[in-house]
Amino acid sequence: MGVQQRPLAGTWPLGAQATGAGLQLEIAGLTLGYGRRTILREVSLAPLAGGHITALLGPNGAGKSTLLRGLAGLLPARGSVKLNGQEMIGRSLEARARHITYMPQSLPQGVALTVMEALVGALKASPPGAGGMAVSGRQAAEQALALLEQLGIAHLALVGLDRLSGGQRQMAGLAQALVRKPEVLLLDEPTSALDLRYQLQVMRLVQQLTREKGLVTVVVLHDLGLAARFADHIVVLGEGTLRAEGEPERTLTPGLLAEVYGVSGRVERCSLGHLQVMADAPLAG
Amino acid sequence: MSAALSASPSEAASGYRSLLLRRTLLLAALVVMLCGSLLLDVATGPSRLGLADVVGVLLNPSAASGPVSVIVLDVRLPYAIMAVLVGGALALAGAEMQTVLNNPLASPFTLGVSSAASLGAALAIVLGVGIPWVPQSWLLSGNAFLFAFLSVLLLRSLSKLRGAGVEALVLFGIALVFAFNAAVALLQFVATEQALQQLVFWSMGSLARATWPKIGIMALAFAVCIPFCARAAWKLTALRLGEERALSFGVDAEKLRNGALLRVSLLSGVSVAFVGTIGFVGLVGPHAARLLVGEDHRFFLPAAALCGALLLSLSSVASKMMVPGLLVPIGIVTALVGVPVFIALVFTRGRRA
Repeated sequence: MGVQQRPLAGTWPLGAQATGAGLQLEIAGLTLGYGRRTILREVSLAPLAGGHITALLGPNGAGKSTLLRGLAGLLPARGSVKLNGQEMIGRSLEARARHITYMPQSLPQGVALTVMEALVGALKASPPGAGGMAVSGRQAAEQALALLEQLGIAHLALVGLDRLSGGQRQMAGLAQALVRKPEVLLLDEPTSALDLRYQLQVMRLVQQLTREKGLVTVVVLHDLGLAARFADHIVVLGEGTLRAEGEPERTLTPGLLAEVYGVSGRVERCSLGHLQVMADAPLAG
Repeated sequence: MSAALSASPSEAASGYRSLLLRRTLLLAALVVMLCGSLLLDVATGPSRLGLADVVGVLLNPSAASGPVSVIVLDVRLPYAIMAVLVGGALALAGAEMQTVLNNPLASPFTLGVSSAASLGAALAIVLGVGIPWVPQSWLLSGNAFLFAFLSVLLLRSLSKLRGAGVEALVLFGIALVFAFNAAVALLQFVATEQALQQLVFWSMGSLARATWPKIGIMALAFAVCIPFCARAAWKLTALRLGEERALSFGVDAEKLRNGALLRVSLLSGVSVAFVGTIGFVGLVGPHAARLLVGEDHRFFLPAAALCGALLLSLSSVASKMMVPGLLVPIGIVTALVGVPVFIALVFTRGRRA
């Protein structure tokens, strides 16, 4: 019962215009933490442009998820996050939710909802402007179904979330983020639970949507190979600070692997011309 | 399982429509069953009235007179309606609690609301302490309600103080259960024999305290809560997808939780105040509803209320039949009737989507 990739139609299934044209997300001096514990300090990035994928990399505990949650407005923040010049920090969850959508690492277990019900719920619970309350139940169902079809998982519409395989769950979670017509798409390890085939499918889908809709997409990845292959821009965090950013080819270097991850490794092109990152051994000390 | 799988989008669309229809029909079936149970509850009792007599009085209450009318209108009908209202209120409260606390074991009973009400009742019964200006006949109910209501607010502020998450809230609730129970035990220890007996009977739960004014208050509590429940339904559904996800949808989870807990304290407060502690309904009503209609809260919340109402109403019937000539306290019957029903439900529905 795999996910069949289908060619994506030219428009959002939701009948929206490609809102992302010329989008820009600017992050400057962003400091984030939980309570008194600061986790990310003074992160400033080059402007993230619509239609591009930014991969957030770094070892465990570097602050990758924290940065995503901060951008989504789930943490108290200092600094500046501007979407097309509009300051996002300090705005209500509802106001942010109109533009930004965030996908946490996993769906909770033991939820008695079908894929379709969850999607309709996600849509109807959203504030007006992000598709929400304003749409009727029938419209919400139509939009949800169109999206499932586009993602190639319409056959799962009436299956309970708890009966899905790991990969299908990930797709269902992704659909819940996409159904809200985001301009900024924040994904926390969308490929973590997936086998090789699903990893490629999900990343290709994210790439396609990002290009077509002009989304600002930020993805936390652990797999440097996937990052090298799919990201347009790479941001490397380590110990709560920005360690490097730039194009994959210039950023992913043996020096970075040693410095940030503490491993010796190589970065080479394979016979197909893809950038490959290989970790050889942990460095002593 | 193959029936649940749809190959094409149009099949998925019609499948979803028929799913909604099925759930609506299930709700309707529950309503019908509840009406039947209510009628059965009014028709049964120690004084052997014929069903025809009972229906006659119900259909034309103004024309009825004499002992039959008194038994039906002033004794049986209030009990039966109270069973429905209390069962519905406790199960609805339990359903909202389980969702906003993300814990399948949450219920007014397990998180200290009922224990708090018992403490309030014990204070009234043993020490005669109560809210000033409340008439003597309402002292017990008033106390029980006040304590139940305050316990939820206490729970809320404890967890706020600590800035703690949902897990801590559940732990605080369990701690409160023990604290209240200890305080009740202390009062029992110093109570006179007569007061002790009254307290034990109260804590078993009984519909015999039902009167029309109390029913009016229960109905009012429902009327206040239902519009807010309905408004929150989509957001509660979204909350089931995870708090962070719901937050990123723009759902203010904190506000949602506060609103739900306020409704929980009102519904469970009036319930335990009027009939004593009936624990099982608030826990099991929601689970039964979840097995029947899933967790789309448009269906889940009404289904939980209906399941709870049905369970308590059937328990009320059973409480009259269990030992001939004796009205067994409903709190005892609820668990005895409810557990087998619930286990059967889990076995028959648990394997399905």
